[in-house]
Amino acid sequence: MQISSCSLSPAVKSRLTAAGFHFLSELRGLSPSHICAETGVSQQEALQVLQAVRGGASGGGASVGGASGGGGASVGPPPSLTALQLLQEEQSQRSIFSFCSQLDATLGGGLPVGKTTEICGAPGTGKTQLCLQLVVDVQVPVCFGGLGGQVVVVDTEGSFLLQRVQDIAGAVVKHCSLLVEDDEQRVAMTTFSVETILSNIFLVRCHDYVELLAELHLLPDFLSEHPRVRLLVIDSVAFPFRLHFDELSQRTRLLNGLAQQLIAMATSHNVAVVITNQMTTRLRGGQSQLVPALGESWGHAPTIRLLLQWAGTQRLATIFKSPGHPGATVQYQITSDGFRDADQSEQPPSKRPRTHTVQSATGQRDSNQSSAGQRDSNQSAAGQRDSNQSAAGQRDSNQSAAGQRDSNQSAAGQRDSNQSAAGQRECS
Amino acid sequence: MATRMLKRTCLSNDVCEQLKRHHIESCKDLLSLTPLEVMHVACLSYQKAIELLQSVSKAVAPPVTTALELCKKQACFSTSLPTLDKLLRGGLPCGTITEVTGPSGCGKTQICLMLSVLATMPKSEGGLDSGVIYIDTESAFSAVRLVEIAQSRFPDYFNCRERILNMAGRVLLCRDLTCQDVLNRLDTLEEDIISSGAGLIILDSVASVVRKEFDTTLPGNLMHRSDLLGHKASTLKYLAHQFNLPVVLTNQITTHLGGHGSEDAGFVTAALGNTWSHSVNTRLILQYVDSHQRQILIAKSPVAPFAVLNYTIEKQGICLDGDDSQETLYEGTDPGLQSIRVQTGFTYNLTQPM
Amino acid sequence: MVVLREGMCPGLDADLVRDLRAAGIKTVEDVVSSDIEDLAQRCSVSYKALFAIRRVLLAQHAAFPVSGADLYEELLSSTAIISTGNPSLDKLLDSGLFTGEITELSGGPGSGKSQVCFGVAVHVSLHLKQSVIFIDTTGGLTASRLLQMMQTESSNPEEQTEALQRIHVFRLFNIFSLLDCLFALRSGRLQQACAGSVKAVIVDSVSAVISPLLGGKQNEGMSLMIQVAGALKTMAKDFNVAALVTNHVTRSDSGGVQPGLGVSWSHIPRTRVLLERRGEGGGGRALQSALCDPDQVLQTALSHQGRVRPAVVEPLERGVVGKEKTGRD
Repeated sequence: MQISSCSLSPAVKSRLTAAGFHFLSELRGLSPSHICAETGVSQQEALQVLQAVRGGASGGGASVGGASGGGGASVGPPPSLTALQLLQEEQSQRSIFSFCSQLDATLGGGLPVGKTTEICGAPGTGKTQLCLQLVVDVQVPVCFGGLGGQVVVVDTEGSFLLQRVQDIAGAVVKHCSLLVEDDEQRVAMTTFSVETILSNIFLVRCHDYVELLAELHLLPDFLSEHPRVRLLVIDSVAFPFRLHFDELSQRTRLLNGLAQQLIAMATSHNVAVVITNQMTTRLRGGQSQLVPALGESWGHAPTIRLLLQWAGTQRLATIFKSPGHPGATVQYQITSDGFRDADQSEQPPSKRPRTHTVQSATGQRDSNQSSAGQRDSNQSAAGQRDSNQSAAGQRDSNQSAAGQRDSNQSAAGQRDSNQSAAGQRECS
Repeated sequence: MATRMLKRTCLSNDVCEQLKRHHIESCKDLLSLTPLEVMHVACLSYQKAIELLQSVSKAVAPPVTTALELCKKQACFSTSLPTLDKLLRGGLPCGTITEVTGPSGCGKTQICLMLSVLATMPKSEGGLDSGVIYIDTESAFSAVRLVEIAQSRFPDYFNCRERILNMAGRVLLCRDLTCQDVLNRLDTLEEDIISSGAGLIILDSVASVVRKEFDTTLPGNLMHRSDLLGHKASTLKYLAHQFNLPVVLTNQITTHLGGHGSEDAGFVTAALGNTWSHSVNTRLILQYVDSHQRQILIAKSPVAPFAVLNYTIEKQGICLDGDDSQETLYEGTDPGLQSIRVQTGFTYNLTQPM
Repeated sequence: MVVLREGMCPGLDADLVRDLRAAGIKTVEDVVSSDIEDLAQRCSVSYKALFAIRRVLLAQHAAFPVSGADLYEELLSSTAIISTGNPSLDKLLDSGLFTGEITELSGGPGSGKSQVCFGVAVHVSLHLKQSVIFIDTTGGLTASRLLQMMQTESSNPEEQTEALQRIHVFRLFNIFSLLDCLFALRSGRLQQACAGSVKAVIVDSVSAVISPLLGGKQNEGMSLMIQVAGALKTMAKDFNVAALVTNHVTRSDSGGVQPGLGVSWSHIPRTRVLLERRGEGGGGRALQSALCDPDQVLQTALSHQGRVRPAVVEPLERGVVGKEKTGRD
């Protein structure tokens, strides 16, 4: 490996090249004092050089990718995976469902863990509501179909309101308690209450971008200390970065670096990262359009982009960008209990398995597609989930026992829009 | 926190000197660099640069709490309008920004005056028992009206002159008539908050100074204006969070022109644009029904659904019509584009002289 | 710059090296570029000995000239053309990806770059039955999507499993890891790590790790970018693999889109394709290619089954280069 490509300090690199060393392998077998004498670097630096040499040489078989961050000692380089191993990992991983089954269906079960998802939308569309819903949903115990994980919320706007979280948590707890069937679930319910939900939410309030960046530097260690965290929410990343910035190119660099940090965290600590973004007005040819804020290059950063928008009085969620799912638009609503489907048809819990098709307003997608075409369905508490997809192509889908969504939805949509803020709501 | 000097963190002197040569003295300067730039200025390897960033981050990063600890703090500021309080789950949320917008004469300043009175009242009466900082940019504040509201609304409490004087003494009025004055005021507001024991900040109005000084048809002004508003919003949010107080702002209206080639002439909506709509946490819109009757719309709220309440302005401030149990919910839309009804005609009756 | 060491060539012993070093001659370049007579006097070594040493060093370190005919023969015999799996894209690329060269795909977010990369990976591993190295820097690789694409091509689950095993995935998120990976692959572990021959190396996306480095008050970012390019190129040439990279786009002052990473990067790939999103389908346009007809436009439709399905290939009129539609949703 060339010396100029390794991660030593620039001053050391220039000394080494001035002394005539071109490749790291040329330094192998030399003692630190020899290196000091030949190149004029300090002893500490000579030691670092030798560590780099050994680190590169002992890369071994399939190991690649040096450590990115972390403490002084380098973290072991990640081995390469085959796509088959990756597939098995993905299939054993659950997604975080929201309570809007249509949205979950278009996302293939919910928000994927290990990827970054961005939610952008005009003010008041419900980005924070969706985030709060996910914050509670990720804590649903495993026996009910959830992940039973903790959450870290980085709040930059002050939109994390306790009463709202309490409402949503209360609704979810009530929903789960109605579904208790066996002992395991009964035991889980004893530790699943509004207080425990609140205590599993780690909250950080950042006031400007420097605090946000500082917090993100410290998060990998925090996540290592709290291995149960499964979701990281940043609400919102746009607000601190839209304030006065001296040069936009610096902002772009910082944002790109931030994006890489987030995806590295998501992959290495196995958390789902959810970011909210705002909309900005762009003038093009005399017309103004609402586009996601933070610029073009930020668009490449998140893996999945959801756009929440208003269409008159309806709320629509569109999948803007996703490498794993086609673009689709679904309708949703925000009730006092949180983020829900647009049509709330009261249906009793049913134990019969049912297949599920999703129709969206703009596109069709038949989700019951597999080469083998078999279908088993089991039940889970609160949402659906694809699991155990073998390479042979069978597909199991789990469905909500508490409610089967009416699968044929017309594009005009029916919607129960009467909400009562004070009254309780039976969620179906 | 971000302006903390590097010398005061746990970094060694050599490193600080090295960084100073490159004009990096505060934590903000260092954290605004990418790791490669840090490697360059501090002459460190990649690993060491990351470690340096982490140690500086420890000095800057805010503490991590859990949501459960939020329960212990004061959550809401009751507005003394029972239906509104019920919809807002207790009142105006503390630590956030609430915006009241509407056409002129609808009652925005009246609401501000009413809330000022409420904030000074003791907790047993539903107040915050604290001072109020009232930043007035339109010279619309009237002390006489303040006293009138106090005496009409809470006649039992304000039955003696002493209490009225006490209440008036706790409202700190600041008259700042230009944008720069307002910004300067906000930057130094922390000290005023502590010295006056404030529990409520009112800024009446945000739109008037900004619109007076920025003509958005000129190029570049729009961005400058957005920067300024963003700066104000973030300072207010910081103050709101730091001291856990509600911040109330008033805004004006503007005409939103219809889309290209559409038939309608546009509609009236809240001013200051889309980005500003993102920055406020709660938006209450006041609009006219007829010359006497008005309505409050809850257009954007993290806790409340879209709702409409009728009210009139009386001697004692705002009075809601209708019973407590009756709420009219409406189908809402984008709070930045919610249309607002303005007063189109005037009816009058000659009042007979007494 | 190669350091002088004893035993490098006959006549170069430790004393001579020490004497030369005392005179300030440390590397081979110094020997070659200095005056022999002068050097002989200063180091009190015979002129003939130094001359002989210099000749040997030159022979050892100079590049070997190759005739054009030999190069052509070598190219014909060793270059292979790998189909991307999409006939219309192949036509745009003059029948496919060339081994030994870098092809770049750029486009805005959601324009389908990753989908095309998946398509190539699936095609190579399933139909050509060769290994693929996929370096993912954005986290966009979902194995279930690869499986979905495979399932539309073949219905034999064993084949699919084998094909999945031939795709080797590396997930790296910063520049130094990427460089480590590329150098490790180059130094021969390519064949070692993947049983079977590798025919394609896909990096999705190269701009995600490089764009945080460019700009600012340092130049190292640019040099690291060029090193990535160098590593990819030599790997492509030495092992006869086709390199496919993805890039983001930026808006130029006139409002049009152009591929990111600047002018310095623009010389690295041999062929560049710009993908745009138009309505329901996508579009691809070849920007620059030494091989194929530039300014050809192709319409593609990204179906949910994943394969980039061809619709129509229309050549743009010559000379009307500026007439690009940048319509996006």
